[in-house]
Amino acid sequence: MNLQRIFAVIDKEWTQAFKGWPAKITAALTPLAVLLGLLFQTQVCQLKVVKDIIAIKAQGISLYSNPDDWHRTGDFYLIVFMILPLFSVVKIASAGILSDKASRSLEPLLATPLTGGELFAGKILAAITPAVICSWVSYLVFVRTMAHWGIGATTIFGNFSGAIWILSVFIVAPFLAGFQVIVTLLICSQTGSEKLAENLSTSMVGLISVVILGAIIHVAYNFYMYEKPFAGAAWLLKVAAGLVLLVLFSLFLCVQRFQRETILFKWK
Amino acid sequence: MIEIQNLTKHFSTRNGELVAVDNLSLSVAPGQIFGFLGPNGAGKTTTVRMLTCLLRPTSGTASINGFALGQDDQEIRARVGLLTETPGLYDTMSAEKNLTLFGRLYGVKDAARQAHRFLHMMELWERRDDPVGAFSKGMRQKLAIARAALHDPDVLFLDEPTSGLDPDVAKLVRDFILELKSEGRTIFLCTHNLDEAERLCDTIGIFKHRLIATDTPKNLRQQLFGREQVFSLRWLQSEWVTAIYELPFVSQARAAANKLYLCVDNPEEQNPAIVRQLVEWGAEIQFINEVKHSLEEIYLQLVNEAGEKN
Repeated sequence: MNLQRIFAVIDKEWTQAFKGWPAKITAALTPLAVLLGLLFQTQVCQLKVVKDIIAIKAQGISLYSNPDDWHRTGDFYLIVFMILPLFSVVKIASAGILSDKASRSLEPLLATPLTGGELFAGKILAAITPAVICSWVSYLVFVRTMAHWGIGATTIFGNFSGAIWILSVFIVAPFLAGFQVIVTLLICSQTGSEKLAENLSTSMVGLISVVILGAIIHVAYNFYMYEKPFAGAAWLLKVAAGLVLLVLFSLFLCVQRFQRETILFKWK
Repeated sequence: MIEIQNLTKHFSTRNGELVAVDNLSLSVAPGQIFGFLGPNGAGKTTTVRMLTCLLRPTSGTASINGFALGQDDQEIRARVGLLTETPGLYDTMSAEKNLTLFGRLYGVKDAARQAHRFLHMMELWERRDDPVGAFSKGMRQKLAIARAALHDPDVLFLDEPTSGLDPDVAKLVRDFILELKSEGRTIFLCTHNLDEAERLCDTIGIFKHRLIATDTPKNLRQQLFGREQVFSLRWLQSEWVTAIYELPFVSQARAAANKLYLCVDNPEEQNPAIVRQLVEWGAEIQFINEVKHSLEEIYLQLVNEAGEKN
């Protein structure tokens, strides 16, 4: 793997994806909109109640309500931050391939010493880096705001800066985004229409979200029925490890499947 | 140096196997311009794609400067430059960025400086910051050629470099190709422009799925038509056309108006004998010239012959 070539591909992808201000704003706007939504929901619906509960608990008075009910809200936030990068990666990843198709620039690109692995690594990094950075910034703003509101660490929502959150936001989310990019690359490589490629890829985001939510619901069901722990660190570690393996395997498949000859004819 | 041995490429299609390139064998000496001529769909681009490691041959071998196709592909890619049929530039990027990007991909040490050098050479310096999408066809082609030569490759594959260009730009491109040759680079030139091939190429290969002929334009001309002499006479008697065959070195003779066309092997030695014979018969010779068949005539004759054989 030659880093200079990977960086060159990243540079190319970004130039193609962020042609003008609208594209840049769209990429940054999605995490921002989600962040504002979460903050608004917390501020309007829950902040006062949560603060009251904290105050009551501080006086040593026991509550009828189950604190785990509140943890579910925190877990919902966690899922949102895990899938947040997925919304931007589709746009960036599909733009690169579709521009290559439109400008017929693949042939000269593939005639360079760029390897298949470098091409895919460049495309994946180009797509996930801005999306993941935007979601990380959103997460940090979220944590800071929660702390400012007095419901930050070790509150009844769960610990926003604890191991589970760090693992989810900084490990699971990027790998999930990586997997999404590979799926997008595969879809875009098979279609000639920009709109169709984007729609199919966006549907994949929904599908992945459903799978994740399904897993969470399954865990939640176990929690209610059998009082098994809800979204614990061990479960998340398994998810993270599974995702890493999934990304590496799909990347391997991509590189194996898309040899120069295949890319040249399939991505035409 | 390019060495090709029995290079073959088959494609599977709905109607069965398509033989795009059939047992191609040829050799291009270092520092030469080789003209690869053939009609549309003859397999020229497929050949170039195989030689630039974009397509895998079905069978056969080839080497570029000693590096074997299929074994040393990375070395070959680093040492060859490719101008594709369509320029394939990034329209949203500036001309300079298009070049520096490829400089980085080819591992050029000072990609920006090299890009500046080629922008000056191609007379694109003033437009270096403009997005390529706003360029004319000629400017795009010049930029694509600069990109192909940016990493100073030993071998360049140029697919229709002057196609659709106005005469000024075409001349600039041709001069650039000659400059590359003068630097000792080997150039494999696919073209339909026979006049250009004649002007630029040391050797040409005429190709239609298989190699029909390869040689210098001069030798091909001689092989096909011999050396045809035209004797312009004040008057011509028809019996002279048949009588001239008495001279053993005359292989073909025909008459048109007051001109006698004779094919001979060595006109420097044989023309005086013909003149003596004609004068003996009472002919009055006004001029003697050698007919120079155009490359177009050679090309058409060979391609048509190949078509008839198939």
